Amino acid sequence: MIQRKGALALAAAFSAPASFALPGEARALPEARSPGETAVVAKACVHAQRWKTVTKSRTVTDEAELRVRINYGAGILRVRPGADDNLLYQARMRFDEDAVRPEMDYENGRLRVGFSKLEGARSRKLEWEGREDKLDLQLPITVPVDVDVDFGAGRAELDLSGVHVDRLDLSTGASESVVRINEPNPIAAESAVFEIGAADFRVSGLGNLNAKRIAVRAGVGAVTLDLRGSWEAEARLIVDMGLGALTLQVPESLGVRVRRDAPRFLASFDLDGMVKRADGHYSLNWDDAERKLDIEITAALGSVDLRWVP
Amino acid sequence: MASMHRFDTSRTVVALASALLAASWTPVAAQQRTVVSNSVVVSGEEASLHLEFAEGDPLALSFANGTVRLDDEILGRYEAAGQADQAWRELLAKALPLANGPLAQQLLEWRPSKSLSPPDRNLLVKVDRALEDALRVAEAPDAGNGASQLDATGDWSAEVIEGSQVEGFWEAASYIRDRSFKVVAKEDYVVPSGASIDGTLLISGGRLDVLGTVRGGVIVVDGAVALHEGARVLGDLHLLESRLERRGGIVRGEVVDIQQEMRRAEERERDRLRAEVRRELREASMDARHDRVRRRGPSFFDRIGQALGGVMGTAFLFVVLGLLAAGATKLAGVRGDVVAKAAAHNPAKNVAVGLAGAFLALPAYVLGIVALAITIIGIPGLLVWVPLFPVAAAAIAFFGFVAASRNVGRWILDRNMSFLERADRHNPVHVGLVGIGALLTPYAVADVLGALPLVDWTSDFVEVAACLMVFATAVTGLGAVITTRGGKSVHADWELEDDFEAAAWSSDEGFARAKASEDAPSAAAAEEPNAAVEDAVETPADDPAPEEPGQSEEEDK
Repeated sequence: MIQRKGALALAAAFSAPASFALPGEARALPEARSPGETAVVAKACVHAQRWKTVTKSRTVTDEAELRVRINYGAGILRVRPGADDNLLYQARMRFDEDAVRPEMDYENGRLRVGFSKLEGARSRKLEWEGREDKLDLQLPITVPVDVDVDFGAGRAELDLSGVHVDRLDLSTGASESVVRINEPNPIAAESAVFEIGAADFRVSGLGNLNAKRIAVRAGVGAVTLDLRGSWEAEARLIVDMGLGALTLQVPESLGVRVRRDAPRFLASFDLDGMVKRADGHYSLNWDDAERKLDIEITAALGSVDLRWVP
Repeated sequence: MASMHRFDTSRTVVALASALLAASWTPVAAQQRTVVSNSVVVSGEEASLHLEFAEGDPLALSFANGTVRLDDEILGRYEAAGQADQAWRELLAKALPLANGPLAQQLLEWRPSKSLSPPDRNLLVKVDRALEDALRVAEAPDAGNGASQLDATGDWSAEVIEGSQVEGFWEAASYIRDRSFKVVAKEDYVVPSGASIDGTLLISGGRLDVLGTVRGGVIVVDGAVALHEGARVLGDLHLLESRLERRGGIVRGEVVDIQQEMRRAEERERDRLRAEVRRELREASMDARHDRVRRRGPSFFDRIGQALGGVMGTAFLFVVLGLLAAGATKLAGVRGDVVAKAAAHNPAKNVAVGLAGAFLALPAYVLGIVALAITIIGIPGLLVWVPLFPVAAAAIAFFGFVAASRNVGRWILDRNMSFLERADRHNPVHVGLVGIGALLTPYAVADVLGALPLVDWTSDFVEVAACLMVFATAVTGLGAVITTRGGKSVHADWELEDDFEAAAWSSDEGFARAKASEDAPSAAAAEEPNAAVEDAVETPADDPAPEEPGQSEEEDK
């Protein structure tokens, strides 16, 4: 039992306050650790030669807005709402200090966080489970946030539920990325742009983002846009697909119009449950729907699949 | 240590505070200070904590590389993975997940365990005290009648500074920037809350408690300074062998450790001198090496390296030329045979024709461009002529070189050298490769000779000879290509050594027949297996192909 608890504390040493684990890897951190557990933590820290943990947090003072710029090459990224109303940000980074250099600068409402590869450092295999660089960032829940994420490869989970998102700009390469917005954005977002290279990318609760304009540019890979959410105002969704599969999960209550721009070449469109009119495909409830979404899709190759969800 | 800033006694009046209040200061915890930012760094070598308070002042406590530091001050040393290190890491492990408020509370509540060894416990007690001092809002000491003491001034004399302190004092005094200043020697001094001092305040051998405002700088020598809540120092704070206690006060300028500054200046000077000496040594070493090389020439190993590089380069050139030659031989077929034969038949004439062709190539190129350019219909031809002529000329020259080198190869193979037994003298590719190899071998020999002592002077001669051989072969080949019109025609005066019908070579028709013979050797050749057919068409004499039915008829036609 002691060994098990020690291992738990060891795992938690680099993952507190909540683990870095993405869904499916859930690891709970005990609120309070016993002295024995923390001793194990300390010992682990002492003997960890390559890994470094840096935690930094700041309390809200007089910030009117927080601009967050995340520049992250490869690893595991987690962004989530802060647990405390007074928290401006809390960033926790675990990394191989022989391979990367952390960047965490805050000044005048601007936060830059991420890693840059050290000169001459050898590349590491991403699939080296448990040995990836990790970044866990908590965002404020009382201050509007402008989020700009540039994520290369690895796994990313962005939970923006309850965060006052003013603008969201996410760019990712070959990653497995999830953006989750389970609660409505308290403010109207100016825009949201997702640029996806060759990623397996999913957004759930996109309607909760409360953005008037959403743009998705995808190259290769599978993109799933779950359009459920509050949709406070009429909005436009612009999708530019290169080669890959786009799945639109549309709530039945949402009025949707889909317009396809040329060129579409070999793209296949499955717009089940839509009626074709002169200027596009309309959902059956378009004229009566309280909330409407205008979708413009440009797809050269690949497939676009629209599915209705409750 | 010479200072950049000299203390100007002639233009200043030094004021000595003669009676100051020796106020006792008690760090009574009233409330917890507000932490607005924290940073925790944990790695194998380091475990550090950085706090930033609402007032803007920071706190840095670090265990790194065996040293415990509070800001820039060294609190002591610790053993990596020892008790103190582990206890500190335990504290940071607890602090990691906490926000600023709970974190401050956690740090305040922390106490070093009594079970620790005395040195580790003493060290951690210092750490604990530093955290307490930084995190608690202290009650202001009783400033009492300090305000009246500020006015008590008198002439300063060096006698109040003891001998060993004089040098440091003068060094510190050199940092005075203001015309107005106060000097307090061997006494404690308090700047009360609400009070304000213009100019620089210099304390030597005493303790300074600041609760009010110092509009200039503060210099503390061999003492301590405490910046209490509400204290403001608008200038720089200079410390010389003194301790700084941050209790909520603010320093607008920089906090400078004079000793550290002096050390840095010394280090900079040392580094500069070291770099200068290193540069001079390097330059002297390079000069010496250049002299040595100039006197002795390259070392033996340098020569060996150069020779190996040269041989490898020649081998690489052989591979490239060999591949190209094999391709050219296959493509050229019987035309290559004709050119080779022509080159062997009358070398002098071919050399002359080849030289003429080489020298005329450029004028022909230019004339062609001019001729095409002045005619409207020729202008499109320029697009072909300009890029293709040089390519065609190079291809022709190479074709001639390959064909002529076959003669060299044949000559080598006729010597029956044992290491060339595997080369098939009936195979034009083999013969060509042997020839090219023979032409390039002198280059490798020259490289090797260049590495050998005593005979290295022969290297240049061998290399020149190699160049002449290659040039002669190329020119001969080019001449042969020209005289045979690319291997199409054969001169009637050739004295062929083989039994192949000379007449068959004397016309285009004969060329066609020879080509047909290459595909299927004639019945005559089959009947006379010993005939030197290979000289003309390189068909193996010991494996004559059977005559195709109707072959003779076709040839007659």
